[in-house]
Amino acid sequence: MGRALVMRLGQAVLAAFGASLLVWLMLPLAPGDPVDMILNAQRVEEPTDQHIAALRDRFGLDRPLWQRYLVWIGGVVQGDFGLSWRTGEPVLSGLMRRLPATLQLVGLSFVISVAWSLGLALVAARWAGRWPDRLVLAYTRLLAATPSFVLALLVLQFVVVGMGIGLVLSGGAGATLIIAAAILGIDRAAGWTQLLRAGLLEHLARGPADVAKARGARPGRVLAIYALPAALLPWMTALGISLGGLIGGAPILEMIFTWPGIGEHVLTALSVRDVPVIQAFVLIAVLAYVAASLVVDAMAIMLDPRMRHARPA
Amino acid sequence: MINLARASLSGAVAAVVLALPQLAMAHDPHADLRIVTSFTINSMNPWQDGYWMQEFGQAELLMKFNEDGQHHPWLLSSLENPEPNRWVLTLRDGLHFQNGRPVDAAAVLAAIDAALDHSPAAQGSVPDGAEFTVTGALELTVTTPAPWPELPGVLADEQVFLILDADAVAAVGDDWAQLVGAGIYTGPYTVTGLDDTRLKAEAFADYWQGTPALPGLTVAFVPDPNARILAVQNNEADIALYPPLAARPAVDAMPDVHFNIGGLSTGGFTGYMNLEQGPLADVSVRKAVLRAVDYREIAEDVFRGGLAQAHSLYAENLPFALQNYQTDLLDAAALLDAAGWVTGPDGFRHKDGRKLSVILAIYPQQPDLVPLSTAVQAQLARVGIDAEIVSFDGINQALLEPSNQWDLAMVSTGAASWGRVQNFLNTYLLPGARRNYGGYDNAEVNALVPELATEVDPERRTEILHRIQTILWDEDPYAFSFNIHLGRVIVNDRYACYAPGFALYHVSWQTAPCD
Repeated sequence: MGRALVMRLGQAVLAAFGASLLVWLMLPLAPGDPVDMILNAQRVEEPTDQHIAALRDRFGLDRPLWQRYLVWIGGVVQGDFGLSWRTGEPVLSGLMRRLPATLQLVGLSFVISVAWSLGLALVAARWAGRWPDRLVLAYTRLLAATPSFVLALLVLQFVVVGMGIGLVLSGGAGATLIIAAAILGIDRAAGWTQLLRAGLLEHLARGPADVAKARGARPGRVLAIYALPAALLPWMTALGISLGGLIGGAPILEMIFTWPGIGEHVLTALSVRDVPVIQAFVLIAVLAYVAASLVVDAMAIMLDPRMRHARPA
Repeated sequence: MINLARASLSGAVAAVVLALPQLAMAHDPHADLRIVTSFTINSMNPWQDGYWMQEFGQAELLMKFNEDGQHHPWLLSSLENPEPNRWVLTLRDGLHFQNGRPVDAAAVLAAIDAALDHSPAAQGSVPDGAEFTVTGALELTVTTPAPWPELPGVLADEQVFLILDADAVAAVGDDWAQLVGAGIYTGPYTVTGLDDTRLKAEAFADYWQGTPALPGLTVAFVPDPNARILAVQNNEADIALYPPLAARPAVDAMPDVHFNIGGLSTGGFTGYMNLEQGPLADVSVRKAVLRAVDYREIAEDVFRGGLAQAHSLYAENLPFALQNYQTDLLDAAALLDAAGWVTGPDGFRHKDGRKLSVILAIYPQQPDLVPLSTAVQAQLARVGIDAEIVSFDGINQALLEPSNQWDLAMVSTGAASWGRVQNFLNTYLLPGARRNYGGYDNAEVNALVPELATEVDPERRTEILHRIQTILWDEDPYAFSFNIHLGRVIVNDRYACYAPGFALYHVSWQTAPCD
């Protein structure tokens, strides 16, 4: 088991290195002069030659690419992602200040989506082929096809404004957190419900469950004892992988609900090409994704002995 | 098993449902003005974010640019130009910063020096060799090696010289948060709070023009335009800035919410033609494009009065604006005929086996460019010019990237922001300039622009600007206005009479509810 874990860790480190290189290449591969991008981000219309020279020197833009990468990754390893072109503040402090709010939103939405999808999948599997199952399937298909921002705008219009529940401008209020997390969580739960339902139905049709049914076990007991544990493993893997999607979906919800997380910060950075902020956000998101995958793999290795000898394809 | 499912579902539902009673909170309207805007004020750093303070009533400038297209004294009592190379600035008597310190000539000079030390915009706006000196308790003199006719515009530009207490700013080093409540500006409202979501300000009781009409105001940063509109609809905000024009019909249908259109601004959606590649390298095609665009239709039919019709490169309230734009499809067709572009069976013009086809470049940050480009596409088709619309993310870089194909770019531009004409001409029209997207290089324009930079005679200045506008329409077209922007806001009933601020002056000391 230890060897398998070390192998997964090695793969994760390689993935993180590759990601850092790709993320860093965003700047040198972008069209145009980086100085022009910095000036745009700072809304400087008439830069002096001295100002342009100072920017090149400050951001090391005259150095060879490999040197620039080493300086950047050296800083990243120490938690220094450089300065925001737009605000001039250290990138990491700007992100960290807003991160707790984002973690609140993502964490709560994760809890909601796990509970919601687990409950719906169990109901659908218990009454497979009957109206509760068909209802759950129709509901999940509809939600899976609905972007979360559309759902958010509908909720703002009809629930917040129409019914007077909550506020449009959150200002960090807990009420908004619950609404936004519910939208994000319920939206994300659609796919997870379909996956778990399929797993439950597959395992209900297998030998052990059949034997239990033949012995007269109640359907709920068969589902809980024979199908659910077996179906949970792939579902948990999907949860870990989809966590990245949850984090990726948060910025747009934060922007719509004026939730003071990193979303608005990053979207503004995107609009003005504030590359250091974008690089930091993408890299942190990728690393979180890699870390989540690693945790899920480690859990799978611990739970399923066959995984201890599995080799990556 | 059923209990497990029930528990899971109820666990998720409970998180939402049990919270509903707390969510249903009534929002009491209060006396403060509540603005929602799309941009975030990042910090109290005056060199990076100070210009916002001028827009929301915290900071002031020495001069003000008004709707009449002229510069008027603001914190100054007069601005005189007794000699071509010398300006005399006289301050109003009795001015104070919000922290109580007097605003005299020494304090203003300190603010100007600090800006020149820290602000790229200030550094780029002041000619080499310019000297600011105190020549009286309330008087400063500016001397320059060459005449500097743009000084009134520079003093009215929010990006350049905000009048602030430079000593108080220097005292905080880089800890900008300490400037909250420090009263470093002179405006009617003092900043009392700033975080990632909003700015708060309270009335400055000793404001020099009189008691501010409001006890205070908040400016919330809401990037999403739909959320800004909903905030007004839900009575959480009084004024929403920068609403998309596309929202106007929906807003017009809402009770108690109003879409207010204001006066002319100094910019619009400007077209830039690519002279380095494609069919617009041919001057006849460029002239035909100008005459094929229906400027009235864009303003009145496409945007239903949400934008103003362009009559020239400049807004018509500017004293030097010509009225030389004229849609003329016959003239456009004749120009194309003479240039050898012949109408084919497909309805489009061809020459040497090539179809007359242009790429219209737009960008997603300006959603109004979608209906505008679609309208222009249809208008160009009337004279046989095929047009394809391509959206570029990061338009300024994209247009300068040689590998990108485009012929006619549509970019929101201020041709005379705060009445300053030199900035646009220097930056967009001169060869090698930072934003000369299409490679424009006209010998006469190249000579006129630097001449304008040092020409103080108003008549000659107008003559030069008329000549540049004529060249850009009749002789060597390159940059032109599709429209002139109008101020626009969404307001609730309390502020139904609020007129969108000219030149981004959103809040004055007299801004108040209608009743």
